[in-house]
Amino acid sequence: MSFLKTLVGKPLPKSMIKEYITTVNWQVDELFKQVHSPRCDCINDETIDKLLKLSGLSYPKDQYPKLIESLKEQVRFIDRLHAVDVEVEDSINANLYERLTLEGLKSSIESQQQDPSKGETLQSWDPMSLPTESQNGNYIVKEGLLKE
Amino acid sequence: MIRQSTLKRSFSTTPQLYNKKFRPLAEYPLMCGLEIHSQLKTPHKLFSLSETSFHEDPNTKISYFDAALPGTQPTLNPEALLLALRAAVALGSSVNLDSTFDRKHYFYGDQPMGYQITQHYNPYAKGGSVKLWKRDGISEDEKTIRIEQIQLEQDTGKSVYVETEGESYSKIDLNRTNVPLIEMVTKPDFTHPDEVKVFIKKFQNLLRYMDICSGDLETGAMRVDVNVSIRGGERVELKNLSTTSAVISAIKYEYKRQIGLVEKGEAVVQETRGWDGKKTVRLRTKEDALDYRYMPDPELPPMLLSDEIVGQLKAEMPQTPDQVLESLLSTPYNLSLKDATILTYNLDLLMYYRMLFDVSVNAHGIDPRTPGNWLIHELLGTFSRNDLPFDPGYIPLVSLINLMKAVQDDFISNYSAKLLLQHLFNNKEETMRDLREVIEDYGLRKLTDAEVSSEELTAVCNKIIGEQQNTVKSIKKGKVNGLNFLVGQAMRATQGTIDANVFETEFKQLLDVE
Repeated sequence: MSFLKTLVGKPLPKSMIKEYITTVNWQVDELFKQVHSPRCDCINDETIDKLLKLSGLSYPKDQYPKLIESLKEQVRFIDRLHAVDVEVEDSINANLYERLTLEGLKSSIESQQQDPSKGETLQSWDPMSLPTESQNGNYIVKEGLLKE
Repeated sequence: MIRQSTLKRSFSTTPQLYNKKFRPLAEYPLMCGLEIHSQLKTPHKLFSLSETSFHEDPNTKISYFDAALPGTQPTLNPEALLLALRAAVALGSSVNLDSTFDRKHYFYGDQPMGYQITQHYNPYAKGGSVKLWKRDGISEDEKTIRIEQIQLEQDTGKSVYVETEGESYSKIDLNRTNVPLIEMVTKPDFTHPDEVKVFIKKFQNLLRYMDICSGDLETGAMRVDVNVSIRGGERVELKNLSTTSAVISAIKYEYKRQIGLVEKGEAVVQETRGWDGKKTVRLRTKEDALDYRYMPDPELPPMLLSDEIVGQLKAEMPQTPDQVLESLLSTPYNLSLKDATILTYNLDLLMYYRMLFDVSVNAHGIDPRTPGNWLIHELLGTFSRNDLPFDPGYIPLVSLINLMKAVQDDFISNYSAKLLLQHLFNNKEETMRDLREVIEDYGLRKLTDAEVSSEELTAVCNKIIGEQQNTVKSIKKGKVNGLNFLVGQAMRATQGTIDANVFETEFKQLLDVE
């Protein structure tokens, strides 16, 4: 948010950064190869069917095993991320932001300005220049999106 | 979901199918809860500063972020937050000083990011209530409708499904995408459709007073979904309700449908149903309910508010409609409940009345009952007869004050003043002139006793006696009320320029009655 000030510490010396990034502590591969994950055991053809439905995509049935294996790897990775204790980090993060006052809120309303580089001002870009097909200024989504 | 359906909207064509007095049965108590989405009155969107719009050409009010171009990120519009906080304070909700935004995923063409940014885990406000009173139109003396929570979220775009021979596609307009909304969810405290009707009206009015939302259901600025269950059974969610009457008709229909199922020995299933103008129709059941895969939005920091912000907002809040109504019923206004209610539901009229009262009563010593009578019964009545909404600039405040003053000073009779108001309404340019000159020019000034010729007076009365023989006969038989009718005729004939008492005395003499 533009009205929240982020606090930035002192820059680290280059030598320290170099040492930090060249020291190998762990490998990404390890995170994908966790031996047991109960969530992985539940991933099957049905899971893929559901995900495809949710995402509105289609995929050949004979390729499902490959997709299942890939999904299991991702879930193992996410399980590892979830296992990290983040309590300490959270409390630090909460202090990074200033609390918003009514005065601050009102002044940020007054000072906000549309940014043409974000396409916020009128005629700063032509939204119809991107699609290959449109109809009277509307985007067109084919294969129907019949409401339930 | 807040997506607009392509189901044909019912608007005012909703048939009044259930106008008969509705009474929930004691053995099947009705339980309803509401989810109301309200568009916040800020000129910008929620996470970008492109303009919000109504009825603009499609896809003309969108930023890169609104169109979900890769690499774009959300930035919160602080005005949306301010308006949302004002709503929470007005509803007496408890503001969460550490709220967060979450992503609600579902795949649809009118939602280009593939998710809606909402507040699922830590909404910005919880609790609060709206009080309904008997005078609002419910059967109980008072009832409290509790609020579950309020969340800040973005709207979706609009999609229109087109099916022609051989192809089907959807037209997508993203102008509404990312428009700021608050979603207010009530507890299932409603036990009668009348309470729902009153609540919607009061909630709309409250948001209008606080300048938070236009409150219009017809334009989609406010959208209402309803949860209905009977006897504490499974709840059915009703969507696509575009008018208050559609909401009420749908609840009544759904109540009867659920009783019908139970009485046949069937179970009411948890599902989402729409309203087609005549009946509720299934949209989806619990089995095919969407899995929204909520997750905290990693691109938006938490909204951390200071401890003082709620108190500061409370201090600068205007009066609520209920407070305004109370004040209008009390001294110095002492309006009737009917008149006070009319003013409470029309902010332009209320402001005009307050100024009219202040200047006419406090500065010109006009009777405190007079401003309300002239404004609500005469001026507002004239607007209604002409099928026009009240326009505070149409008849300048000073013209109406001068008119009331002229009546009070006996310069013009009440009767003639009403005629003159019609004239001013139809000839606006006359309001620019000195009112007393206009009164003189049209011969509407009340004549003094010395100016009234007794021969002319007698001639006018005799003419009326000749025309109204039936009334005269009844007066002579003792029905003296008929005299008022004759006086009214005489006032009309002389455009109210002669005092009613003068005519009454003359008629009594001519007809030889006491």
